Amino acid sequence: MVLKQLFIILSALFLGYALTGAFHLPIPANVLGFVILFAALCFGAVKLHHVDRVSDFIIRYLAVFFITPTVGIMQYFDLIGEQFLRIVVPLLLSILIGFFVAAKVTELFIGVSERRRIRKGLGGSDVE
Amino acid sequence: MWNELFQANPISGMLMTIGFYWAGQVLYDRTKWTVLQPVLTSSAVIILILIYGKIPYEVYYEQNVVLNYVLPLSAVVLAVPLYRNLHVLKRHALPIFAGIISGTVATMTAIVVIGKLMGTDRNILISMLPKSATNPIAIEISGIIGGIPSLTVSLVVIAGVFGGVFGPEILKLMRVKNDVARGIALGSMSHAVGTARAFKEGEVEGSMSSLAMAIAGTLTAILSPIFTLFL
Repeated sequence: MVLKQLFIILSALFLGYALTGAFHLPIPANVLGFVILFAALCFGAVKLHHVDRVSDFIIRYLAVFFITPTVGIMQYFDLIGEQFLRIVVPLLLSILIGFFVAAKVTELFIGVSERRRIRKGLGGSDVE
Repeated sequence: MWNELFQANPISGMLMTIGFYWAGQVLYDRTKWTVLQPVLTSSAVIILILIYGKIPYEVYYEQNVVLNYVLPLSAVVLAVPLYRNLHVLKRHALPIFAGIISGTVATMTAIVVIGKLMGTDRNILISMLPKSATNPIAIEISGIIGGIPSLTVSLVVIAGVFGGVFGPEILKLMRVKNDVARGIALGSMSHAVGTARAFKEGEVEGSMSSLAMAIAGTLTAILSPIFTLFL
């Protein structure tokens, strides 16, 4: 039932808008809607087969919805031309730094939990 | 003459969006080059047509307004892939959260520090803060913290393509060998495009990347208003 699936997903988004509006939360309503739907799945209030078909369809064609805003960049070509290097350098460096930190910290903590497991006599994990 | 016909016809804008995305998808499927993301190639062609056809962006936007209404829904449905990977999350909860949180904080700190050192415009830096979140989340954050949503969307696409094309090679240079760590880095920095590439590297990388994308997006939404205070 596509309609039922759409109804459930819209309800999560509706609650997201209702809660951010009522409590003046500075986070996007759709992020809250995502958290609500995820919680509903975890607690079993919503089953995966109640939402999977519509979700998979939207995720598959996600990029189509972002063409219009991407084309909107043409309004800022002057600004970008003026600041080109000042945009590209922080953008690329921050991505490289993020890659490095995220990967190294994850590895570090995998090492920690593995050592703990060995100490408890459970053997190493099957991560690698 | 065709310029007036285009502007008067209410369907022309959406016809271009769907048509060029379709063409971009075919091109991508044939070449399999990560650089040729359909969203990138189709947007570039449409921009050229609008500029040379002297069609104002506002007209094109109005004709695509239906698509914009669906846009917020696309963040909500990310709960589905996250839930599917819940078992992986439970098994490595500590390293996963530690990696995503520190990576997200590091990349946002880097934007503030490097941007300020270089004297980049405040508007641009604010628009750049959510660049590692997936687009449905990033575009909303940008609006809330006073950024330029259009600029954010483009930066998000660039962050995705950069990580999707060079991510695995960068991680190799950084001597990161663990599959979990590689997936976490790809998903938290390069969202859906990084995740698509991660799945080509392996099943573990892919599912890690897919859950990292959802968690990093949520975290970016919470942290962005705080980082904006430093700009």
